[in-house]
Amino acid sequence: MSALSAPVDHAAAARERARRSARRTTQHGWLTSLPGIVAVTVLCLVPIVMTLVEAFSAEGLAAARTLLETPVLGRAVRNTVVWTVISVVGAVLIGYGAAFLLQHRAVRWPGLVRSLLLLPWIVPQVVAATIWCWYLSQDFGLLNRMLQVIGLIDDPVDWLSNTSLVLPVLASIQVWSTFPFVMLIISAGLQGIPEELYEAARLDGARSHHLLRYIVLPSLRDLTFIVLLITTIWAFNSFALVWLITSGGPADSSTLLGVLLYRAFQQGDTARVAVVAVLQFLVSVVIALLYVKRTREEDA
Amino acid sequence: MSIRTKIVAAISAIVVIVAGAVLIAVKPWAGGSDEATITWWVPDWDEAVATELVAEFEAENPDYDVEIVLTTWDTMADKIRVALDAGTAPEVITELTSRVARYARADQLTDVTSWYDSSMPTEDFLTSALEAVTVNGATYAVPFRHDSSVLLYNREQLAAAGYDEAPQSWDEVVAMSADLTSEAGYAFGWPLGNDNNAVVRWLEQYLSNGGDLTPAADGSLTIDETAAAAGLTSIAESIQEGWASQSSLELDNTALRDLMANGKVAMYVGGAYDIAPLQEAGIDVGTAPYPGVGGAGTTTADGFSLLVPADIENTDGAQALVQFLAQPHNEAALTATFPARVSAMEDERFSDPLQQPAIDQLMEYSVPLPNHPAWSDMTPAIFAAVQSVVLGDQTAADGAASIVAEAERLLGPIE
Repeated sequence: MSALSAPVDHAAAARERARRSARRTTQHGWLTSLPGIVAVTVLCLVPIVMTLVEAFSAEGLAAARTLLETPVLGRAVRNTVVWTVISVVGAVLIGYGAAFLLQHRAVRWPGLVRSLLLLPWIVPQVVAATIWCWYLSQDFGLLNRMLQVIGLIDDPVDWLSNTSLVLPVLASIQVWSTFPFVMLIISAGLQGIPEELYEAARLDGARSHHLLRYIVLPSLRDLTFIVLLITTIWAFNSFALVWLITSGGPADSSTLLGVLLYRAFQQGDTARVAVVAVLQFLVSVVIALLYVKRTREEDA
Repeated sequence: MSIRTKIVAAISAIVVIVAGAVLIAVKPWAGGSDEATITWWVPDWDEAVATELVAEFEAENPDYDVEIVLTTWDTMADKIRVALDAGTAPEVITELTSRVARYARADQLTDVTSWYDSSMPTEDFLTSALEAVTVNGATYAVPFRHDSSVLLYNREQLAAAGYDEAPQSWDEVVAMSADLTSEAGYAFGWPLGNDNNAVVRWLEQYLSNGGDLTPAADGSLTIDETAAAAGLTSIAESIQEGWASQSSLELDNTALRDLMANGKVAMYVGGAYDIAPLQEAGIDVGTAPYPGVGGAGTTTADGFSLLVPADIENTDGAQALVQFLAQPHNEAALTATFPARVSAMEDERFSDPLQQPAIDQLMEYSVPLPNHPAWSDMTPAIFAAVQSVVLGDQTAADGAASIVAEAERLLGPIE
């Protein structure tokens, strides 16, 4: 072997070793991911494909035509949009407020306060629904009694049996239930902002609202997007709270798409179930694609 | 591929193949069990009695083991229907009698007509109970519990208002309402927050106002629009006039019972199963037949039956268990209200005078729910109509028209 070929062989050998190592790593990665891939395929992709096939079958298209001819679908879509807007905006605003509160120096025992604020998140939905049902009862609920005692109302309010009030009231309960999640995420984000940024800004004469506008909110932009995404998908696909408290009534005024789907399931109408499920799925996919698009833009 | 990777891949493949072979052999997703085990789906309120009866059965039949799986009221309908559709149902299921016909028409149940032998003759069963589980001349379940509605009232509240007996007609209910309504509570209450509860209460008003649920020869059902409107009017006016609980739209049967237990409602229509909880709450409860138009009204009867899915492996075991449970003394023990067998009514459990009005209502003034396969699909339309009329969003006439239109769409001839 000549002295001239020796360095070339070393480099080629090193490249070959690196290539083999990369291939092994890739194979190893695929193997260890395989159980998860199989689980996701069986538990998620297969049901999605089967539902899509059912929805676009002859029975599914007939069910879709029937649904479009009845007022209940339009009502459910409108209710779902209103519910989603109130739930998401409410949870984000109150969650933000709670997160800022926990950061404030004036709050003693922030751990205790955080634990108390987390309670709505921890309480099981069935328990929460039962408690709120009685709390909001027109004749015998504590809320009406308290409001009458302090003189805010003269007559009891029909919170759950008034077609105009029921949906905002239920959405408020959803806000109560989900704001702790927002609070947790945003709290973690706030704690990740370096203290030096604040100090530097204060040295430059920044006041609280400048800190909020130019440091805090930009730092939390990504987390805010994730929180909006998750709470929107949760709200859009909600079912349990509404079903447990009003079953979608009175007179369908609180019927969401999830409630419509469950009613079809109870009747064994698999075609209608598939149609409503596909509608919810398409909206969720659009929301998810927004997230993917944004993530790719940031990576780029 | 390195040696280690090959080993990992080989082990993973072997695990997957063995697991798949075991799953295919054992089929844990399939209902039923081996020859000696009978699985019985039991609602949770029957658990204690069912456990005792199973112990007796197993002592008499040592070749069989019975496994009890609990169901709940809220989930049993969905769970049973999905299991029957998927072919994963157990040997014996306790199910609401009025739902049996639907499964029977879908060929999902075993024909048990021949099981009605000398130990459980058809003559000993309540006619309405057997009718509900019989389709095209074949019987597909064995009823063990059958009941109807009854008027429950607070005797102390009525006495304080000057009444020493319950109203005998709807007119008397209306006449007494003013005296029984105050700031402390209402004369009456409805469970209009739950779809099934609301539909049953409307049906009772419909029947009591002359409505009919008798199917035509081809199985189709027609709803009488006049009686439907009258039923909606009775319910709506009671709330709109202020003597029935304004929160009726929020309540189900259980919540309504709680209101009476707290002295907030003087009367309501419920079941014999409400008597004991009200007494435990310290209420001096009285019972009376359903107050209809001009006298005792007509109510619907329903209950629970034992059904056996089609194509199970252990039919002999299922038959042995069902025939054991259908014996009069066992039905008397298992039912939370009344048995479906006439001879079982002689049990001393049913000698309480408070239960007599409920028994009279069941035997003389009740009809079975329709066993048209699409009857349960009427629930959303009736529920929406009841709530809309009560809220004043539509008139009783329009509400009745919507119910009739839905009935014409769904309750046509049975093929």
